Amino acid sequence: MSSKPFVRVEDLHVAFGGKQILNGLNMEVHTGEIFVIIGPSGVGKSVLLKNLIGLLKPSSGRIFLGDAEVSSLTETALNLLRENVGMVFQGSALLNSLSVLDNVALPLRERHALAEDDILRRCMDKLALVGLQGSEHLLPAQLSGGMKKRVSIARVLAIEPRLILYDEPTVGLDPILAEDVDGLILRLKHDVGVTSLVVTHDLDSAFALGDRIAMLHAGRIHFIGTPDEFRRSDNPVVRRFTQRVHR
Amino acid sequence: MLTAVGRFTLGMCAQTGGILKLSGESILLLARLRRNPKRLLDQIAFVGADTVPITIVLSFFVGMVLALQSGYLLARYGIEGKVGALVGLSIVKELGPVITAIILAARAGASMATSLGTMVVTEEVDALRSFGINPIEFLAVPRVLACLISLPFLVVLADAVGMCGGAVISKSYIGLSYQTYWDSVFSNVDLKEILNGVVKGAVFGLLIGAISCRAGLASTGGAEGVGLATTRAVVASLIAILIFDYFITRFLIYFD
Repeated sequence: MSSKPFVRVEDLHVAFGGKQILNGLNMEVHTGEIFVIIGPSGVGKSVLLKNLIGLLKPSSGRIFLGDAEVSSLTETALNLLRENVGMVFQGSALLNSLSVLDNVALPLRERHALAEDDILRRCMDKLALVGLQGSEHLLPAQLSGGMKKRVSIARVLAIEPRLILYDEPTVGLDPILAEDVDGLILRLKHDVGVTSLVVTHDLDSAFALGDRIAMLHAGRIHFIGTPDEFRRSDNPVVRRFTQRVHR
Repeated sequence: MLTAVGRFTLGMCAQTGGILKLSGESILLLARLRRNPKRLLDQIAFVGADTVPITIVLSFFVGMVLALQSGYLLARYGIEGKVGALVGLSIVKELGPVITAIILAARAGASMATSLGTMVVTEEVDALRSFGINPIEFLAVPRVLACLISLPFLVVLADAVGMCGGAVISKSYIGLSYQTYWDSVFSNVDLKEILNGVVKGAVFGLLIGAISCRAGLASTGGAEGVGLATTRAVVASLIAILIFDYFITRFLIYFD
């Protein structure tokens, strides 16, 4: 795992309708690591992820992905940058009119110059990787929540990104499925070396996945450390969160 | 009061600008659809083909009502033989394009606003953007172009069916022969009149598509927001149809 930051956020401020969501957030994610951001619901975790790939614009501050400053790019330049970044959305965000295979193939067909045979081969490989071979022709409405989540992961894997953002990847899943998804994220790190940034309020997932864990509270990062350091931390914000979750 | 008027005016200008921008983008991005023409064809099937049955039914009744109302009135002056001309010209110049556009706005426009609004609140639009896919090109352009292409054909269909409805009433209630009715139609309704109606249909189609798609893609606030966007799309489309109808009519009369 490289120590050079792949993601760097400097003094990020984000506000909606007069309400301050992120208030001077600073953080770095190193190449090849799984960086977990934990915090209660509604604290701005999803907003942070969307700012990282330019889906939302900050009020002020700077965001770097590699050498590119995301916060200053046009939509056209962002589209080029997004070819190396994938996001797994909280609700999976599959297109309901497309089959599983067409959903996974969508970014390749629209943005990558690959022959259709190569696209199909890659999509079938990724569906097999997430354990969904045989479900190519199903529609999202015919899938369970866990299956939808795995299709959305396969869709991101199909573009073979260098960075994957996960927005609450285990929310709504039973403990066994949640463990499967966590295992998949870990396998991707070990087998492919992809950098992952996971936002979650699931402490068990955070401890299972994270090389480092950051605590987001009141618009800022209050703690960054390894899972062990997180467990042993005297930081009052961290202790309040862990005690509340594990009561 | 002044603030409210100012805010309303600025809002209307922003909305109009947005609709014109989306209309222009749709036409400019038309060439990109050749990579995947199926998306356009699917939308044409939904917007156009699936609207045919209701267009037939409603335009038939419009023709019947027009013949009924005008027939008795003209008979008082002994010129009931002109019913064909009156029904034909009214439908071809005005009622055909306007009623068909209203049907399209209520059916396809509402559906487009709802489906796109739902895609916004379920983050499907964000997902497209996260993969570098332009949601305007992917979602809105096929829909806008489907409306632009479909409505002129629906107008011609409505014209034909409406005049048939008028023929049925002219024969059954006014006692006019089919020969007399259709002679009156064909001697007064020429190709130029029909094409004027088709031009209106194309403009209305572009407006309905752009307004509905813009309303859907601008949805916020969950299911309630999607409902509001749908209502906004239909109401704005109806207003735009009637306002543009006036200006197009003035324009076409000027060049007559």
